[in-house]
Amino acid sequence: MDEITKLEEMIMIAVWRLKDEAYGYKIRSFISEKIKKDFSYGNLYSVLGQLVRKEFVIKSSLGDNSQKQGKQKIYYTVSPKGIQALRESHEVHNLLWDGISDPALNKF
Amino acid sequence: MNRDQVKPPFLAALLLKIFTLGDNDFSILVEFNEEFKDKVISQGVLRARFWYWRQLFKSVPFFIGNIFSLRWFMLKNYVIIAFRNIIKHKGFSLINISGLTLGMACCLLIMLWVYDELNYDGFHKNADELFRLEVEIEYAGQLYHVPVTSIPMGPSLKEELPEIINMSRYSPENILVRKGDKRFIEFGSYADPSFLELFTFPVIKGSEENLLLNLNSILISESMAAKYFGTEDPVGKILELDNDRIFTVEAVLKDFPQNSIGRFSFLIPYENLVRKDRAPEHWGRFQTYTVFHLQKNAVIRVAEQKIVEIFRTHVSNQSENLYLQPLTGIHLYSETGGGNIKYVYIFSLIAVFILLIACINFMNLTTARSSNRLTEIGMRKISGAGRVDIIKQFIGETLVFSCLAFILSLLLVYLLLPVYGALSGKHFDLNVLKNAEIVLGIVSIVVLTGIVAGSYPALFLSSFKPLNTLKGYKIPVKFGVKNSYFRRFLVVVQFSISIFLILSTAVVFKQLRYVNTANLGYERENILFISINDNIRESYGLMKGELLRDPNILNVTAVSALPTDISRNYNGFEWEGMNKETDSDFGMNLLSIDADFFETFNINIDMGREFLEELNTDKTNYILNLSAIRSAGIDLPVGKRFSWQDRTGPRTGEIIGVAEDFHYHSLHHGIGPLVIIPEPDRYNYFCIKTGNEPALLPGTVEYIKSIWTRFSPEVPFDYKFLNDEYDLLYRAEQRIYKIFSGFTFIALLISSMGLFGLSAFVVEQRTKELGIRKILGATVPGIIRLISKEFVLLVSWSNIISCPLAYIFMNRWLEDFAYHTSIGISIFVFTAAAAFFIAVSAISVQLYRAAKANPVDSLRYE
Repeated sequence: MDEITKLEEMIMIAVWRLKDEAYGYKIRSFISEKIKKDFSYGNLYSVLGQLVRKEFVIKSSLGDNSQKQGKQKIYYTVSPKGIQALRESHEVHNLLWDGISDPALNKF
Repeated sequence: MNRDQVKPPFLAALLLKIFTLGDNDFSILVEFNEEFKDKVISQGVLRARFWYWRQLFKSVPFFIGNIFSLRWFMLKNYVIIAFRNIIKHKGFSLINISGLTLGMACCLLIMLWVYDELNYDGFHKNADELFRLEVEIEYAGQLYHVPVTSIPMGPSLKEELPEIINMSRYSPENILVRKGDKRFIEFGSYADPSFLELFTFPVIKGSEENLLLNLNSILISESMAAKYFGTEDPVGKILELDNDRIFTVEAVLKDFPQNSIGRFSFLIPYENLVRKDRAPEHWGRFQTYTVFHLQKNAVIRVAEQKIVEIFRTHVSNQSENLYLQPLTGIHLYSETGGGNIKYVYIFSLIAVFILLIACINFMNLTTARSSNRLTEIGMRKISGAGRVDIIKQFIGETLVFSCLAFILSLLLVYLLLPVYGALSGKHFDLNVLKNAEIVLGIVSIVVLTGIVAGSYPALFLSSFKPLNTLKGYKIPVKFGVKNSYFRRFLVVVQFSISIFLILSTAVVFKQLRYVNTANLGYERENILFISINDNIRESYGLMKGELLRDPNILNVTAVSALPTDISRNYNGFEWEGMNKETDSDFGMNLLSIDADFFETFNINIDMGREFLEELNTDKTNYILNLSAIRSAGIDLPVGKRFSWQDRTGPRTGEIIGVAEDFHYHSLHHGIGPLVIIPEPDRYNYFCIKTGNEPALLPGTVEYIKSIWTRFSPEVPFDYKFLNDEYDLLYRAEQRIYKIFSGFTFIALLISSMGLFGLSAFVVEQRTKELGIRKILGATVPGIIRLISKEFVLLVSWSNIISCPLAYIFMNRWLEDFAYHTSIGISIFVFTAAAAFFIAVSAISVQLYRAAKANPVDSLRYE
């Protein structure tokens, strides 16, 4: 099983949920909004790069050659391998939290 | 909508572009812009711009990491290609590497020198808390710093100031040492027992406690132990000092390192000096060094004030101020320290300059030859390399060059170290490499060179568009590849630096020559001197008479100090018509002579007369110099009463004459007031004037030696020439001159090599053009003129830039001397001519090749 870090998990979920709109700007604002903190581009791209290298996420630019090089937006989608990793991570998460109810959590 | 026209902040967007360098991996620019536009709509322009900057900063670590990421296989490929290229173009690689090697070697040598200078006295355990008490005296409008204080100051101040944890006085002296038949004059010091508590001079033999408490104990250095005792253990053994005092060796100290306050061969208890002194409780006689160990949190200013207050209660002098000089700063910041912080700055700057010249060479040569790599770059880019990758490749290649050059430069430095040590008067050994700071410095030099030298070629080469390069797009060749303005600028910078260095060296040379030939107001030719010790002083008149019997000895005079450097400063002078309030602390220099002084040195008496030996009253009379008369404001001085508070009592007499001013300091200083008295008690040297004939000199010296042995047999005979003493005053400048010229030569060498390589390339590129010109009838001189025109223009620009700069800087350096030569036009003319000559020589080989080339060969491949 390929383990993924929390950060990788967050970004993969964001990419997955954003479907067609999964490019840098949108991913960043999605995450920033959810964690209520400013998530920098630097963070994002370094992790995205890792994910791409591990083949969990696929990079593609829509074949929009009318624009100049470098001005094209790059879109991301989660690969089947990535979905598998997410599924496993979710399972582990459930196993760990199994049986702990909300009131118990509040007591800490 | 109006808001769509808003652009993101220009500077920030530019920075972003630079950071990503058009990398296609991430569409960061687009993202930023889109988010920016949205922010403008939702939060307004100002907040949007603020956000833009903030995001940029937060992402900087990522950008930097991105640039440096390397995969192993790429690295291997880069290195292999780098070596292949080096071998393929041996000539150019050689020039490149040797340029870098020279530059790095110079840098390393200068770094060693600077490190040594900065670390004088730094090895003591408490180095940062040690301060020397010094005196600041103002007279004749100038501020003088005297590093010595009086005997009672140290102990008293230690009692009264809580800030002072410990104190030690020391007083260097040359003393005759004898053991058996070994007699030598050794340089050592009187020292308080606390000396070794303050200073860290390790004990290698003998006990470490309770040293210097016994009045007759002596501590000697390793070398001195070897000299007098050979291999036996010296501890407990006896040495005879000064012909009659017995001292027992208590311990042996490790040799004092060269970069410390004094390289003493021995230490004897300070109490001996106190007992010898005629007035050891006198606060106003400055003659010994006092060093304090202060508490860590002591406030220097406050301590100084307290010290001055206490000082004033003992001495009424208002023109003197006391201050605390940090020990580690003595060498570079104190006037008497022997070094100067300015030179540290200057040499560091030179190191940077030379390395810069070497890097410029590299840049020029690499980019000029870049047409060879274009196809390769095109292929790489098509296969997916981003601009950043190409940049990484070429910086990597440069680093390979840098490392190769570094290894060679290490070899060069190792070979040059002994010569360099002799030149700079320092002792270098490879131990310095153990120091972390040095290693860090060296590594950073190598890396920095690689990056700086490689930056321009890397940026330049990576900007080529693949399509253009593969199509065989020939870049117009005027000076190499297009955009030659920057390269021309680089050559101008190179030569400007070299010319600046030449000019500076020339000015230093001129000043040195001036100093050597200047009229000092007295003659120093053919004068040698021997010291007068206690034995001789009693019968000095007899000895003088004997000396004069030699026909080659024209004159003999006895003096308290050599006219090259009279630095004993006193006060307590009184004269007729003085203003008691302002003049009572007037400080003047004192010189004691005998009646033949003025004749021996050929100094004129302006008013009045010289001392007459037969006249008894003359024994307490005075001669002043013009400067004294002027600054003290004495009208019609001859005949006026003058007196001085000597340690034995007031010495009253009258001014019988005024001597013409002569330089009794180095030309750094002006001529201060001088009081001259004929007091045999103070005689320290015989100055012996010989005839001009050099062949007679050895015989004369033998004669003097024989007289010496008669009057002072136990002391070994030694003599020196006054001229050599005089040269010593300018030892610093002479060293600077030698080192400067060495480095200037190297800078020129590197620049010329650069020109050589560049011109070779230019000629090569224009072979076809030249072939055609020849066919059309161009003559050899015509072709030479054509090619050299460009270079000559560049050298002219270099001259225009560096001449005014050199003028300004050298003027400031010269102002350090109270008396100096003028810079003059001839230096500039000569240097410009030299620069042109050198430049032309560098390219001449190529010019010759170009002019003689057979057009048939060059056009054959059309």
